[in-house]
Amino acid sequence: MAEDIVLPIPNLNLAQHYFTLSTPTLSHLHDNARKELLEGIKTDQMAPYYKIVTSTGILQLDQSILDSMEKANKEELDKFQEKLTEAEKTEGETEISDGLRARATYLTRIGDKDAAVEAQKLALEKTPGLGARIDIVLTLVRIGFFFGDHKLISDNLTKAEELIEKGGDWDRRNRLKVYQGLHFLSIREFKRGGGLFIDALSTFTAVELLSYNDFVALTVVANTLTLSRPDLKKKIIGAPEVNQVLPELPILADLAKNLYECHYDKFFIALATVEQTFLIPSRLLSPHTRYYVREMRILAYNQLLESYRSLTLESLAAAFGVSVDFVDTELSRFIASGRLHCTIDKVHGVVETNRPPVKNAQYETVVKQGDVLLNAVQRLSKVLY
Amino acid sequence: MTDVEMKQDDKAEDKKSQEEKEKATPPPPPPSPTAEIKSNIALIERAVATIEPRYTLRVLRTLTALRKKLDDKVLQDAIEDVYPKDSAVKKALLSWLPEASAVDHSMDVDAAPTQSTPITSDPVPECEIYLRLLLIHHLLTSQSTYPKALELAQETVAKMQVLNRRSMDPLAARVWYAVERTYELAGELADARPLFLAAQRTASLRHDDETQASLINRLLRSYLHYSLYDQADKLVSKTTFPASASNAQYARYHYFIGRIKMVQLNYSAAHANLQQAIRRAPPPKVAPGFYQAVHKLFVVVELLMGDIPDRALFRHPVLEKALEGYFEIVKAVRTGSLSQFQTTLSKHAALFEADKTYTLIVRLRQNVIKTGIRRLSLSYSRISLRDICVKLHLDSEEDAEYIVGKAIRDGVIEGRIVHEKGWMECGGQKSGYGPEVAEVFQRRIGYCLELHNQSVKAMRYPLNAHRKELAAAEGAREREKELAKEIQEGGDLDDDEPLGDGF
Repeated sequence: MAEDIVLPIPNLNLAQHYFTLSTPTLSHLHDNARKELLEGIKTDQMAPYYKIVTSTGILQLDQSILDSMEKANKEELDKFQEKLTEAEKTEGETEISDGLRARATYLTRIGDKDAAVEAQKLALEKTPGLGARIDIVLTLVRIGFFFGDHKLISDNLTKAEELIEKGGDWDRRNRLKVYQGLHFLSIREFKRGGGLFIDALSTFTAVELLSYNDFVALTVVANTLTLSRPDLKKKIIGAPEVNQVLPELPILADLAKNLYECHYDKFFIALATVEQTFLIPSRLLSPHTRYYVREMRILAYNQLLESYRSLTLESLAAAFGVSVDFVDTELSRFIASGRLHCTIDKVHGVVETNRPPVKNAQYETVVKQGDVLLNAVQRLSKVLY
Repeated sequence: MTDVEMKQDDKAEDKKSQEEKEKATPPPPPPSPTAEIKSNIALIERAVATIEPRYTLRVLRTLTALRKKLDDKVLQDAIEDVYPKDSAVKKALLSWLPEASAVDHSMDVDAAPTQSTPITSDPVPECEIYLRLLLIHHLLTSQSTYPKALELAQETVAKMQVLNRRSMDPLAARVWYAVERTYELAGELADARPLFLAAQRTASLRHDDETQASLINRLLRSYLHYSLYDQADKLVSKTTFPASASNAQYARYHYFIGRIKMVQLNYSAAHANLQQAIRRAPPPKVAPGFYQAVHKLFVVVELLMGDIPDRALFRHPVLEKALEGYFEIVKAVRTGSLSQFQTTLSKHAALFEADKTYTLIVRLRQNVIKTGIRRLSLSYSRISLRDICVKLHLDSEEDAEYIVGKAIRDGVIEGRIVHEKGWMECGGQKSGYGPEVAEVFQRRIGYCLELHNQSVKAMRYPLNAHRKELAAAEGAREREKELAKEIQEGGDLDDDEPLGDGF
């Protein structure tokens, strides 16, 4: 393999900065993001991407920069083309595919989406080695992440999975797990995404996709929501990989630990901080912020209520460090939608828990799925008439 | 429903233009429409000959697909080929097609004798009716020929009534549908009603179930089109819908009944009927219009009953766009916010008017409050009226008491008001797994049994088929006997020959 280290192209940090700039509520981060974005575009000579960015009015168009970058792009591409024609004339298959790959890599780097996808696909066809092919497919996934193209991502993830089934090495296998996990997180499948992240925790190498700290942070975020309490202790709080990084991410440490140790008031504060400083600015997680925060609160309420048969609204409010009214509205909302299993006696200010019988849930599924079946049978019976 | 049918017509036109393009290219689609019509005619003849309506039904099943492929030329060719050269029926049929393609006509006549010399007599009258049906559908594709279609429809009906043949019933049912469409597109739906009523009486006297089912639906539709719910209800109570009607007719019937019941405030009956309609309806991709129309009502009924429809319903690819306005209403009701409800209502008023659900949705205003109460009853085991006032933005505690009282009376919530202490107690923890479970299952079991019975009834046993089987069994026994004999005798005669053949 010519390159064992996968280059971080396209530079996903830039996509994050771009997102920050296009979200008006994050104005306190704008200055920094603008600088970084411009810097990144210049280093990678991303003329096509620069055009996209400026056309939406995020950055001011500076014609001289654009011209110089376009010139550099053209020169480079010409050089690649030259090499390629030479290789086609005189050299063997390997050189041609190397040339193709180098060109595709360059196009990917400068952020020319359509051309890059085309070039990568061409390179994919001409490349013989399985490992290299997997790398190309994963690059396509990265392009998808960069431009937020979900179809490109999911198509290529399935392709990568097939290729790896055929015999990918462990490194690529683990890398794919991270890619898949990230994709699942971006489509609100926290459970599956979190599971994949935990699997990849001890063998993480996919630095081209996201930094190790970000990876651990995402792992903690996803799994705090989905894991049961014992698993949370075992897999997150007790995991050496996480512990090693957590001091750098004090808020997330607070979040997980306080939930585990039932310090709900501190947990709520941590949750609010995470929402503001981590979820909303994140490109992937911001659409799911409300969902995440709501689910986390339900989780916490459930965890507390599990231990009691009944408790007063005051003590509940005190445990969470909020007002009685807030707890009251929250609980009534969640109970009505069937997420919490208790009732509130508002007159006496008591919350009583009730365990929903499993039988009931089973009964409901039987009726629901039975109806679907009946519909199908009804349709089948038409064959006879 | 009308708008969707129009869409279908548009689609039909698109298809047709596509078809024409396809015709331009050398390889035509395997069975050309003309050939299809001809084979269908053959099937109809067979149905008449064997008294098996099943073949006719098979023909009619292809009608929708065929309808989209029709054009002047196809019909002309089909008529030319089916009828002998100087048949009066043929002339009558051809007169409905424009003369513009007279050139083709003459060419076809030249070619025809060589192909269809064997045709000497007219085929059965059913075929004529079938062709007329196709003609009506074809004439309805463009606005300019509506009057012509109307004339043809009237003539066809008259003809059908004169002929009075039982083997024509399935076709007649379809013709009535076409007749109704014609009247509707010509904007004279009300005029057709006496005609339908008379035909319905005759059909029920003759035990013509197919036609009867079709006509009842036609009448209901015409009543509901003019919002004559009273008359529609009377019709329903005076007629019995034939049990052997097809699924499509049943689906329509249930839909209409659902609409009537809904207007009459009988929501649970409406709900049951609409559910039946959904169950009986063809798959959503095939008949998106009906599916959408039923679901629109279904959503409203669920809301009126104090339930919140499933969120997944609004993500269904066929429904997503059509139910957009309804989804917003659902959201408003779910959050129990009157102001949001009001703004959504005024925003989508035109849409609801067009769907004829506006008056129903206006009724939901009460439900927004009711839903709020229901949610409270789920969350609270005991709550003071004061708190209810605050939570639902009501004016006074008395108001709250009345509204809660009504909700309890209507069965929206289970509970009671403790007047002296000024609070509401929400009755018992609904375990959910109580006596009504048996009822729910019983309903579904009944449905399955009914389906089973219907299926058994619908099975077909070809005449004398069992005799063949008997003969076969007889023959087998005979052979066995011979074999046994041979073995016995053979064993004595030639020992060296292996007996393998026998075993």
